[in-house]
Amino acid sequence: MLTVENLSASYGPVRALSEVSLAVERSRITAVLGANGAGKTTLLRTLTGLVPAASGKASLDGVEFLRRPAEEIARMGVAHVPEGRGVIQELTVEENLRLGAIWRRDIDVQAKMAWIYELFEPLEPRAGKPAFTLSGGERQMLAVGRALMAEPKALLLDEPSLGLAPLVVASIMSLLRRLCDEQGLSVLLVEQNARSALSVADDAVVLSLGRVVVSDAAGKIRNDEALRHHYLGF
Amino acid sequence: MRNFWNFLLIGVSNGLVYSLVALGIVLIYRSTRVINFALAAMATFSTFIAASLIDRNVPYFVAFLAAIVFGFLLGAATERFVMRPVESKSPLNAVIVAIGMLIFLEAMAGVIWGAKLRNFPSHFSLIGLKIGGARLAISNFDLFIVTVVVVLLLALLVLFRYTKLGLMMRASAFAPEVARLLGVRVGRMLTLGWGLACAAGAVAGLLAAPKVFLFPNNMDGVLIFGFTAAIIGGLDSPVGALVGGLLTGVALSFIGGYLGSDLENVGAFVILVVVLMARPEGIFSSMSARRV
Repeated sequence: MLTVENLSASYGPVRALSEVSLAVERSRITAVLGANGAGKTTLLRTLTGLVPAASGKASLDGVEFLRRPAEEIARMGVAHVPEGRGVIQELTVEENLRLGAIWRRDIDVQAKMAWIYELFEPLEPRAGKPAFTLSGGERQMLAVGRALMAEPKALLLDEPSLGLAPLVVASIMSLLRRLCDEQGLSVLLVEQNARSALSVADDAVVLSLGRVVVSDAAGKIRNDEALRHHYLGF
Repeated sequence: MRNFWNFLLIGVSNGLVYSLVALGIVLIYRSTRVINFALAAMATFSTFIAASLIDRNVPYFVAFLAAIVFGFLLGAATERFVMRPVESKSPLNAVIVAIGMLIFLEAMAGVIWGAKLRNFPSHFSLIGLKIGGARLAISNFDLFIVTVVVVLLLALLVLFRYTKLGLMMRASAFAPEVARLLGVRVGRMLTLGWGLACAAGAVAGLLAAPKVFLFPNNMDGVLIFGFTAAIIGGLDSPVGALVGGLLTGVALSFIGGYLGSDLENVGAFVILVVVLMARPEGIFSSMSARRV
């Protein structure tokens, strides 16, 4: 279970996050919604140690991890798939996947890779190709697959639908749901595309100017027309 | 015609040394975007260590290895304690610090070992090989240079291509932030990268010293040729460093041989300017691909 309490962060004098609190149980997806500049990406970057937190707490299964170095947070089981997909273009598909579990000595990398290739079939024939030869959708698959290599407990995704065709988005979202249930992951799904995020999420929080303005079950937000209009624009 | 072949062979032998210097520059540049001008002084310092060991009757190869290990430690310590504090600032700060290191180390070498020219033993004969009565311009020592550089390059190739450590080092160089998110301890990879780069520089110093002699700034000229080689290769490609070194070595050998040896420095600058005008990203760079 991923817990965030009263998390705040600033870029210089600009407060980007104010007292954000949320909790994601195992096998559940919480969508983080909001307009551009609402602090969604900052929330993920603060949680995984790329942006220093000003105050607050964050823990995974009761273990505090906020303010540790990014690489140590990753080793605790918090996987962050950054915006823009974060695949390393110069490395091959297989090297990217290997890198996902590089610090784990207790994992059968071959078996894990075979499993990823089963989940994301288009990746297998491209195994030896540099990642820059992949399409946008394939890169997203690679980024998610790579994050799964180390068997994380929490998966933080930043705009996985960005720039992808609606069909690809739908298939990635449904796969995310399946993985979350099968692997018992706590998923924090940051999305600009509120409609598709709400279609798979259990809960949702809406950020506005760095604050949580709504926190509720995803179904309720989906059905609350006034709220949708006001914050989500659909 | 015999001149032609001799110039070519000398060019290859010198070029491999320039390749090592270029490799030292490239290994650091591609992970930190810093040009390590101190590489020349680090190479010289390591060579002085070998020289003083040899003076104390330590066997040549032991001294050779000790100097490489010293180069590695000097590079790693420089990253960890000198460059790390300025790493997050503009790359210009790091470059200025590197130039400071260059001046400091060369001055220290002068203080410790004296600012005079001295011989550095080559262990192998520097006299040209004889083939069918004709004497070639290359010697046993040149064959030693070729062997050392080839072995070193193969070792680095295996490290980068086929080991987990190499994969982590490449990931740290290409995308440090992503690497950290995957649990790679990028700081350690940088330290290791500087160590390897300066170890390559130390080897270059050891191989150049019998020909250019040993004094506190004996590698300054070699650094300029190595830098030319690195630019030709594209600054971020180890293969480019090798090819760039060979091209620079052979070109300068022909310029020196046919036009006069005092034109070699000018030749290096002409090559540099021509490459920068025709193909500023170098021949082997992947940087243009990265911008897409």
